[in-house]
Amino acid sequence: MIKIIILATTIIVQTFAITSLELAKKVDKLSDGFVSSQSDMTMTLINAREQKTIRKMQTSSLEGNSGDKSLMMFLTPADVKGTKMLTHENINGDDDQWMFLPALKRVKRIASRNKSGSFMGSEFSYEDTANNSYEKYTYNDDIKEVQLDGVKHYTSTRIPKDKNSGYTKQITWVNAKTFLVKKIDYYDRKKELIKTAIFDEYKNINGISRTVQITMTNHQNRKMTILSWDDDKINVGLKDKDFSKRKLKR
Amino acid sequence: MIKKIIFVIFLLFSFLYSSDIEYKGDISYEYKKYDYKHNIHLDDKTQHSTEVNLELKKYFENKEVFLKLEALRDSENKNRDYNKINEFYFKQEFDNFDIKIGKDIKYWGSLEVHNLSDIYNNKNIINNEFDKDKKLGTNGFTFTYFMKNDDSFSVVLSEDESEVNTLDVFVSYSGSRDDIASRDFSYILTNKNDQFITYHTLIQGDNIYKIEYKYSIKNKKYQSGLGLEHTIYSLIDKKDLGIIFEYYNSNNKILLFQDDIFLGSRFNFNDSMDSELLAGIIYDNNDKSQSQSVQYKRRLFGNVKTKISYNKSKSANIFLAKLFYNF
Repeated sequence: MIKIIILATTIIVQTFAITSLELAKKVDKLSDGFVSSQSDMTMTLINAREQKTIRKMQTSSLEGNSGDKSLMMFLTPADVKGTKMLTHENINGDDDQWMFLPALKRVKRIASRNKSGSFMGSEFSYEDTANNSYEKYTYNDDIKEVQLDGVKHYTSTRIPKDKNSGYTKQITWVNAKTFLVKKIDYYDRKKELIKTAIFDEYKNINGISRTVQITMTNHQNRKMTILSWDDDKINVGLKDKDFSKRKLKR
Repeated sequence: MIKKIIFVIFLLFSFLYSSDIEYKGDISYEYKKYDYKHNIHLDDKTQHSTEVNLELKKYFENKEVFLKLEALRDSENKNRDYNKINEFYFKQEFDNFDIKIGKDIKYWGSLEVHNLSDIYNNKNIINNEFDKDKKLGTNGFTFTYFMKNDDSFSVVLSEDESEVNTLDVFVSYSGSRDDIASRDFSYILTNKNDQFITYHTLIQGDNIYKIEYKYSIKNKKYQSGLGLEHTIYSLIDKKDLGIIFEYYNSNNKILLFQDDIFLGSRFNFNDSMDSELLAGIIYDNNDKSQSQSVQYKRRLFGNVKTKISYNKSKSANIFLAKLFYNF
């Protein structure tokens, strides 16, 4: 009898040998190491009446120890063409962010503490589009094995460390075999489910997982946004100077 | 005539499409109604104008050629009509420095209502007497050296449009720091009225603080401006509310902004139509007068946008409606 208990305990321990934090680290590792990247981004806004608005951007980013750097240039709509946003992420503090407004030739420093603001009128907030390093969250030890679309996934709860986050918690669904995130439920400051992100597609470039498409659904206003990346390239040789204020005006 | 214009536009777009020249621009129609309070400009009560702006940009590795063409037609007041090359410059980027030669527009300043630092270009008052962002290109040469920390040192030489055969020299140093707060700064010295100019932006939490200061050694006149901008995010659903406060002071009695307070708000709908509502009051402490303005902008569909504004001041009330097509 004791042997059976020991065997059963061993099986349970083996099954849940992974903790939420370890799972998050595994997820992170899959997308780390791109060094620098460039891609075209398409944002499709879909309102409650299913009318679509499309926006296109060019993005580039650079991995860094204290936070990533990114530069985004808007291509459409035509009135914002050439507008650029430069972000220097600081893992231990507020990000530095500048915007270049080509019509005025103005580089404007913008406040970045509040991450919950809408990103370009979409259902994504600035924090949804930023690098989601595992270090930005604390984890509840509530990891569970569940089936999602007939595939085994792990779910766990993570809580943003940033007190300016728009979320009180996020529940993640991670594919148990590939360790790729499939779904995230976002809970707002009132602790109500506000949004769900479905990670529709990934691709592997030289062993690094890159997101191809995310669909974000807002349950409160019934609007959706689809974010997709095309022509994604990694290790493109970008340097720190490519993410300077000098480059904003180019 | 119309056939000729269509043919020229067709040729221009065929050329742009087939080459790798970047282009953007807009065609707009504006209706303005003036309600003067002191019976001046009685012949100018309404204004209908059409404006075309076209920017062309071509890169050759580290070189850039930029051209901006502007045209305006007023259906009543032909004195407002113009066709101009407002910007036309060549820029070359080297490892640590840039050079720029030609006619260009620069933006100096940090405040929203009035940039007292922005003295490089003259304002295009024919286009819009109240819009600080409508400027005329200035011929000049700019050398900018970039330090390792992204600070920059610039020398600008430009022709003085008010004094013949006079060269204006501007020497500036700009940079960003993350010490007492996240901040950007700029210091400028110029022989134009022997002025010292500085402007700063400082971010502390959700607040943006702005300072502009200018002192003329020649005239012993100063101008200063202080600003605070605070945004409340997701006030209603995704809609953000920005609150802006600015104060201007000067000992120069001929200036508009001598002792003025501005209080404004920017309501960003964050919708797919990019709707935005701006409202503000400027209170002039000297003559105890005030002017108010409200402006609403949104996309109608595709590349078509509209702007409606109403300004109320002691001299006139002005209603404006503008329709833009961007390409």
